Amino acid sequence: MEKVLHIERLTKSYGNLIALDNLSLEVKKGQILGLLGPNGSGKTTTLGIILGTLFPDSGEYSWFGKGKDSHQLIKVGSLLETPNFYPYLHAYDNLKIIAHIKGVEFPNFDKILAEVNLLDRAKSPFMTYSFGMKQRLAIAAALIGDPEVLIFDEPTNGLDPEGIKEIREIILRIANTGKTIIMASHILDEVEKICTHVAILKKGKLLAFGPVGSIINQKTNFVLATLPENTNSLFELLQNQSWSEDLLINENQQIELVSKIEITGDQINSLCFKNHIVLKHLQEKKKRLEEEFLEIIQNNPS
Amino acid sequence: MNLRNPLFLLKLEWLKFRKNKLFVVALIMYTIAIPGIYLGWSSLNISENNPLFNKNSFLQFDKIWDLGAYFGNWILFFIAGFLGIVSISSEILYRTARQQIISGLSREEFFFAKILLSVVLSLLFTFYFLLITPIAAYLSTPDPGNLDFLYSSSTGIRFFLMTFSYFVLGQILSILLRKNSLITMFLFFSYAMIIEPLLRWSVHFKLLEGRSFLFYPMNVVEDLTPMPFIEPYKEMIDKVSFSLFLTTKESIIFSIVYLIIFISLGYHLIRKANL
Repeated sequence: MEKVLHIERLTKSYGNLIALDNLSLEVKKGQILGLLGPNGSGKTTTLGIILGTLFPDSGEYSWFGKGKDSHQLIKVGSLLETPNFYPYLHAYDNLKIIAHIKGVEFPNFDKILAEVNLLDRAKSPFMTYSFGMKQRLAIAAALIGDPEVLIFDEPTNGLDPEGIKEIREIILRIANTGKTIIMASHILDEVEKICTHVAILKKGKLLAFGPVGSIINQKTNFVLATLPENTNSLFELLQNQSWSEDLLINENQQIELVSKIEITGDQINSLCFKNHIVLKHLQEKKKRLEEEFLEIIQNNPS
Repeated sequence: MNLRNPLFLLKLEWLKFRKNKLFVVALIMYTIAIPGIYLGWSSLNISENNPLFNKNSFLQFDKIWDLGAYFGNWILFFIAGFLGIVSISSEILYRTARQQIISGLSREEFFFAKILLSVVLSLLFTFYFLLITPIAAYLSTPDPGNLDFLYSSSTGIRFFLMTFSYFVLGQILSILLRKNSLITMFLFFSYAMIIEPLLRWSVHFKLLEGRSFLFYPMNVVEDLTPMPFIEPYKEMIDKVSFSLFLTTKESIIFSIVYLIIFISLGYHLIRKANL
C-alpha cells in the first residue's frame, strides 16, 4: 500500500516537559488512523509538527515520500484544534482564501458547504457563527480541493450533543469515501466506529499502534448461569477445556469465563448441553476499545 | 526558497484584506489627508509679511514637495505603521496564519506576501502623493506656466522609502511581539516618539561624541523627508557644532540598510516560529 505519512523518531519538548518522545509511525493510503491518548499525551503536538506549525527538537517526517515540503500540505485537508478564519469574512470569502492557497481554480463551495450543513449561513460573517458552525466551516475548508488526506484534531471538542452528532455523521460520511484520515480524539466510541488503525500515546510515548483488531484483545469473555445445583459441575466442565484461561464464580453465582481463543456462545451452549447442563443465562462480552485503551494507559504509568 | 509567483501572493492578501474595515478606513483617511495638508496649510493664519516665514511659498514649486513630504511623513507614520501592524498581528490574533500554513502556504510565502503588500501600498501612497502635490502647487503658483515637475527627483524615492519603512517596522514589531494590534501599536508609537528620542538624546548623545546618535532607525526614516521650515534658521543651526539632520544621501542609504536588516530579521523569525 502507498505510504502517505512517515514519522521517524519525532521528539519535542516544551522546557522540561517532554511532549513527544521518539515517536515513529506510518500511515498508508486508505487507512483511518485514530490518535488516542489522555490530555497532554502529545496528539496535537504530533499533528502540529506534521502540519508545519511546530518544529520538532529532533526526528523527521515525510508526506507522500517527498519530505516535509510545505506545499505537500496542499494535498492534505486539516482541522487543527480550533477553527481559525477571518471574523469579518463570510464562509464563501474564507473558503476562497483556502482554495487560492491550494490552487483550486473552480471550487464548488455550495457542494462543500451543503455537505457540512452550512449552506444556509454561507453569507453570514464568520464572527456570527456558533462554535459548531465554525467547526463545520473548518471541515468544509479541509475538504477543498478533494484532498488525499484529512486530519481532524478533536473535531467534536467543545460541541453540544447535537453538534457532536452532526460532526460525527459528517466524518463517518467522509470515512466511507475511502479517504486517508488521521483523527485525534478522546471519544473512543467514535474512533472504534470509524478507524481502521489506532495509535495510543501517553506522555509523548507511543504505547500501541496497529489495526484496531490487533489492539483490542481478541480474548472473549462470557458470563454463564445454570441451576444452582449445577453451578459446580458447569465450573468443572469449563475448567477442563483447553481454551479456558480464567474462570470464577461471582457474587450472583454466575460463572465468568475468559477464553484464550475466539469462541462463540453457540459452541459453549452445545458443549454444556452435551454434558447435560442447561444454561439459563449466557452473555458474550467482547472487549471494547475503551477498556483496552484504559488498560494500556494504566499498565504504563510512566 | 519555497515561493509561488508574486501575483499569487498579492491576490492572497487582496482576498484577506479587501473587506477589512480597518484597512478601508485607513486608505480613505490617507486619501483625504494628503490634499488636507495643502488645504490646511493654505488656511493657516500667518502674516504674509513675516520675513522668516512666507506661508504661500511652501505651497508653490519647489518647496511644496518638502512641505507635502514632511507632513506626509507624519500621516504615514500613523497610517503605514498601523497597516503594517494590523496586517501581521491580526493574522496572529485570529490564528489565520496557522490556518494558512496547514492549508499548504509556506512560511516564506506568508512573509513575502506581507512584504509585497507593503511594497504595493507604499507605491500607491507615493503615486497618490506625486499626483496630488503638483495639482496643489499648480493651483497655488501664480505663474503656473513655469512648472518644474521633475524638481527634486529624489522626493518620490524618499517618500516611497519612508512609507515602506513604516510598513516594515510595524510588521517586524508585530512578528517580534506576537501580541494584538493595540499593544503592538502602543509600543510602536512609544518607541518612535519616546524611547528612541530618549535613547538618542539622553543616553547616546551624552556618551558618544559626533553624529552617530542620528543613525537610529526611526530617525533615519524621519530624515528622509526633513522639516522644510529649517531654511530661515540654517545660519543659527550651522553655529552649533553638530548637525541635527542626516543628509539626503545618508538617510536613503541607511533606510535601505535598515530595511534589509529588518526584512531579514522578520524572515528569520517567521521561519523559526512555532505558530
